[in-house]
Amino acid sequence: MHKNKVQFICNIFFTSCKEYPTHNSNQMTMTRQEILSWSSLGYSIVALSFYAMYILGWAGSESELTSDITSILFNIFWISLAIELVIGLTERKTKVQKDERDEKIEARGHRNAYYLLMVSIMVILFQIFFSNLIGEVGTKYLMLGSPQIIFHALFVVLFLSSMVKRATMIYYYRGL
Amino acid sequence: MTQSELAERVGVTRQTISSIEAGKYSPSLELAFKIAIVFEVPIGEIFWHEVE
Repeated sequence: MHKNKVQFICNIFFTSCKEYPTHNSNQMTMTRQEILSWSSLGYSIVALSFYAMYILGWAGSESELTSDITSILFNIFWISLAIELVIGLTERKTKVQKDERDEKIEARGHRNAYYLLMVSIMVILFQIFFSNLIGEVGTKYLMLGSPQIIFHALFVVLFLSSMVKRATMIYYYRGL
Repeated sequence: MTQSELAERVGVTRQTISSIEAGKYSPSLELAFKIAIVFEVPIGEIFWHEVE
């Protein structure tokens, strides 16, 4: 018997389980939602990495390292895609797609992503304000508030928020 | 009764039942009642709040 806030006594449950000795009551496998969280996290990592490498130009001049990283990212992408296809093709139609635990965990993921998004937007807004203010003193600071920089920042924040959401969900799935 | 059978009867995933059983997840009142109904016992015999 477990000693937690809410306990599932399962005298009845365990007694019933004994009637089916092949069943392992402590076995924890991933739910459909958890697997989808992993694949979505993979997509976000791939998208953000490609964006950073090729749009922001962080790939640098070392082509060998860049090609290695690109290869890894493509592998992550194809694995994520394959997982989603397999789940979509193999799941039973009558099976529960999402239950209250999934929704609760998703809500926590949304909350953390929202916090990150709000903080980032506030930082960007303050940065625009201050860069305009400082820009009057020195023009080199003015570019921090340029539409191009803001666009890149918002794009990165968007993917980071998605990653935070999925990472939070995975954390709680592993914990709950 | 297996976890899968119970999960199917109350409309959740097997992992949710497993989490409840392990004391890692507190079910909603609705789910707790559904489980109690399946076992045909009062809800208090299955779930209770432990004051620390």
